[in-house]
Amino acid sequence: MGALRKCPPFNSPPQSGGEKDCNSKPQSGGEKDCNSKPQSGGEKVHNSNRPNCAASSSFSHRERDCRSLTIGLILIALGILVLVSLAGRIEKTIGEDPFAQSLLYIPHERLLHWAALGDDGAAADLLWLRAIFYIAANDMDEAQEKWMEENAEQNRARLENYHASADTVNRDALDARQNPILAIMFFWNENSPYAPHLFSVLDKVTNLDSLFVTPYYNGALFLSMAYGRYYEARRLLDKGIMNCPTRWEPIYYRGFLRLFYENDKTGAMEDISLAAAKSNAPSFVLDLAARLRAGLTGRDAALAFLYSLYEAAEDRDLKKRLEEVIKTMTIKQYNTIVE
Amino acid sequence: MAGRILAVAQTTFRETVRNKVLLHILGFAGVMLALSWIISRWSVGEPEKIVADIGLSATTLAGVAIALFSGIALVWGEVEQRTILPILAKPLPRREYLIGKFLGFSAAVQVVYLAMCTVLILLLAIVESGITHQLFAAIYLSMWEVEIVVALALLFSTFNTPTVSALYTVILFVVGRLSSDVRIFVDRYPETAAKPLLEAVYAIIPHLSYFNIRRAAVHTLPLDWDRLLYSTFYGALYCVILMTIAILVFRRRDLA
Repeated sequence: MGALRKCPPFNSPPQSGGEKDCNSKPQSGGEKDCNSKPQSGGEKVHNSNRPNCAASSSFSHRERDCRSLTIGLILIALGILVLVSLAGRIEKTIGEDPFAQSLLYIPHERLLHWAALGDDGAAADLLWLRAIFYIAANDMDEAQEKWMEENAEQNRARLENYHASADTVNRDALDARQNPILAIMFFWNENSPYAPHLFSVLDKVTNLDSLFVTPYYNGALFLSMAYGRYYEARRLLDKGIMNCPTRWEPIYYRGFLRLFYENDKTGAMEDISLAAAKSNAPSFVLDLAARLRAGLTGRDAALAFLYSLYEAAEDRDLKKRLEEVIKTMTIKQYNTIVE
Repeated sequence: MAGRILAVAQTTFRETVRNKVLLHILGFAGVMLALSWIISRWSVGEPEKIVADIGLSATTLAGVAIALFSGIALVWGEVEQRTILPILAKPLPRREYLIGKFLGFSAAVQVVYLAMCTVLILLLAIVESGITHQLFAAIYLSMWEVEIVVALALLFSTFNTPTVSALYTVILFVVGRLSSDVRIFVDRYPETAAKPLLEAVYAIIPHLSYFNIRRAAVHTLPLDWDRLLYSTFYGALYCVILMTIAILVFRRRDLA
């Protein structure tokens, strides 16, 4: 039906905008009706020509469809290009780190509770992932990697000095920048303008789900090592110890912070012993507690701790860095014994 | 009487299961479950907790969505299309028709909900999370939550258009989910003439937060069996009350 309804002029290429009805009267302008009688001065038209008319019309339809599809696709592609370009321009106006900026606008946990319709656990999970993405996005950049490589020897020497003098209490060295072992092991981002908001996010996560233990200790590790924010890390771990008294992780990591940031061996030993006493504590915690109690000091204590941290670490990058430091320290220790 | 109710229930069950909305919501739930597994891989620590949290939330919300979108037009659609007239022309009282509708629809929604929960349990087994009795208790109470939404949607569909029914059901669902916050608001409200009214409103809203023990399931906290029992009675009684109201409204409704 559709093929017969419209008909292009015979012996002429299909014309745009000039579709004619096969059953209509002849049109002025030279176009012929398929069923009309021969016109004076015009070409003869026979009913036997109808199939040709239909085929021609069908072809013309397909061609038109094809043409409009091509034009449509081109227009869509152009539209997407313009959208991408616009998005790029808008992102430039937002600033360098839009994801980090979004950390500033995370609402109060009460509002999050309402938004999640009371599913606080799911809200805490999503917020924790947001914090993880922020941390991952601010991982060591190329310049920092280069600096680490160039200063590797110097940092190793500083590390040796640090452990050689580890028996002296250095309570001022609370900042990760002043702690050479951290300079080798980890990156830091304390200059990031959004770093102060990371603790706020982790605090909200742990308010929404106070039994979610991962943000306490992993958050504290990131806060202290990546951002040099030891005090906030300590606060987070204290909160974790209070809210999750049966778990070994928060108290174990507090022991770690006490040893590496406060050089408080007694306090660290107390914490690690308490962690080892928890029913679900892994064997390396018990081992470390025993070795610390046996009087390990200086490099030995640091090495034992690093081994235990390596065992506990869940992040692949962190494990890799720890492995590097452990290797360096072990070789140095072996050389000292040989000498 | 039981035979007539069963016949209506069977028909409603078949209609609901064949509803295309169901497929869309099931697809959404499947995507959410897959997403919970994917994003749990990104977390540093406790991936099984994330799967359980998001999985339980997604399945419950999908169950509620099925109850809502299929339920709001359940009676209204039949009245509008006049297909209800030949049914009620038979010796079938309106109350039996409604009870049959409720039972059939509930059964369909719960079967679909349990299918989603089975997928969730399989997913939790894959991520090596403990399949505990707390998890089953959480699923069981969520079924009552879904059941109340079914009853609400059916009640509103007896006298309202689907749009208005959806609006009322969503409002009551949200308020019910946050009923513990409503309690705080009512407690802190100054002692004025409006306070007894607020107390009354608090008393009659569906306290859907009673059915949320997902935290206990995720963190394997000790289960309060009394809460489980009382919540079951509460859910059952709430559904009975809603269905009684629906029957009273529907018996007076002019279908001509």
